[in-house]
Amino acid sequence: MISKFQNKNRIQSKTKNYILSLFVLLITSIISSLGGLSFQGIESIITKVLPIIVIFPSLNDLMGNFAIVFSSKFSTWLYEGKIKEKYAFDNKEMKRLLREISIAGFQFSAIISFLGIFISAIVEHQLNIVSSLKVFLISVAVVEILILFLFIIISVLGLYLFKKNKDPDEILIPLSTSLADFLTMVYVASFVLLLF
Amino acid sequence: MSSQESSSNSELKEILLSGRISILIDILNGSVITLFREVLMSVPGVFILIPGFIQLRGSIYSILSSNISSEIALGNIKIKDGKLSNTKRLIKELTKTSITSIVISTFLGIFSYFALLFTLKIAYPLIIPIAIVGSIISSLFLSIFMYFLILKAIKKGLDLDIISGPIITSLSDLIGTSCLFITALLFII
Repeated sequence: MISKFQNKNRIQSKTKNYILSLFVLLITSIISSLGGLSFQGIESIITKVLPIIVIFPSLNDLMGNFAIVFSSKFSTWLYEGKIKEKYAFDNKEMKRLLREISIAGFQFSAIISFLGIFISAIVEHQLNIVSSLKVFLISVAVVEILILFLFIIISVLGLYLFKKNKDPDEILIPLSTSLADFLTMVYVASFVLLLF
Repeated sequence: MSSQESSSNSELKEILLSGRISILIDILNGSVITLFREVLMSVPGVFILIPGFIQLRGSIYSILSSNISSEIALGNIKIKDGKLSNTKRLIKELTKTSITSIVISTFLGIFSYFALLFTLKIAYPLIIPIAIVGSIISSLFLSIFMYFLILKAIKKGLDLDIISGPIITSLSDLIGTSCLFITALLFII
């Protein structure tokens, strides 16, 4: 009888967890799709700038990975007691992490934009120097601005969640990755509108 | 060099390796999108559908690979001569993941339809079946890819948690995008 009851409880708990993860997946996917709205109105411009289309998935993935690194490191340092300041930006460890990620971000965004320009030149059989420089600028600017933005958001939100006795990992990682997706699209669309 | 340092170096190598492979797959994904740019122009709502569609696949297949990695570590799934012994459990996990993917993709299709309708005043109901069929096809391909990727990683003695995450997310982007574009193309021909 007890085992039946335990079994029922386990199934209920599993179902509850499954529904919760379905809900989280749906919400994060919708947040990502909301970013796509910024592209929908300007598809005629976007599709003309081939390197942007080529580099876009890489930029999105890169920012998602940086968001995961920021979130998990921040949570770990909070639990270890390394972050005690009122504002996390004054923390030595966080400043070092921001510097390292900014350097890595610059390197990766430069490589990604060169690859994008190269592939587009092969597809289009031509290379426009001015347009290529603009793509390089967009790639680096989007990555560096977003790194700073994510750093501030994750620090503020992480501290708030920690003070409220909630595990920052559980909320920060899914939220920051979908926010990174959304903002990458908004920033890329804004820069393309501005420069092309 | 201490064993801890050597383990940390090996982890770093695996992280860098998977990061590089991931960027290359992403660039390939971008190239696929350029090949299908006519679809982007002629199917309204695809720009809205794609980011969520890709994010979803990345998330659920990363969860799946992480779950399988844990099951292997716990001994629930055993490897004998480079083959997974408990394939029933693996197939069950793959089926669950595919069903989840199809259910959420349906909601994403509906969301894209209404987002397009409310923002640009364009009614394009075909975006819903495109999302569903695209999801079914990509789930099928991704499940097969996942199975072989896991086997390969195990044979090579790589840490499944480190190597499969970035590669799976990038591969799911590539396969998901390709399947979605091919489906959209089939619907508009």
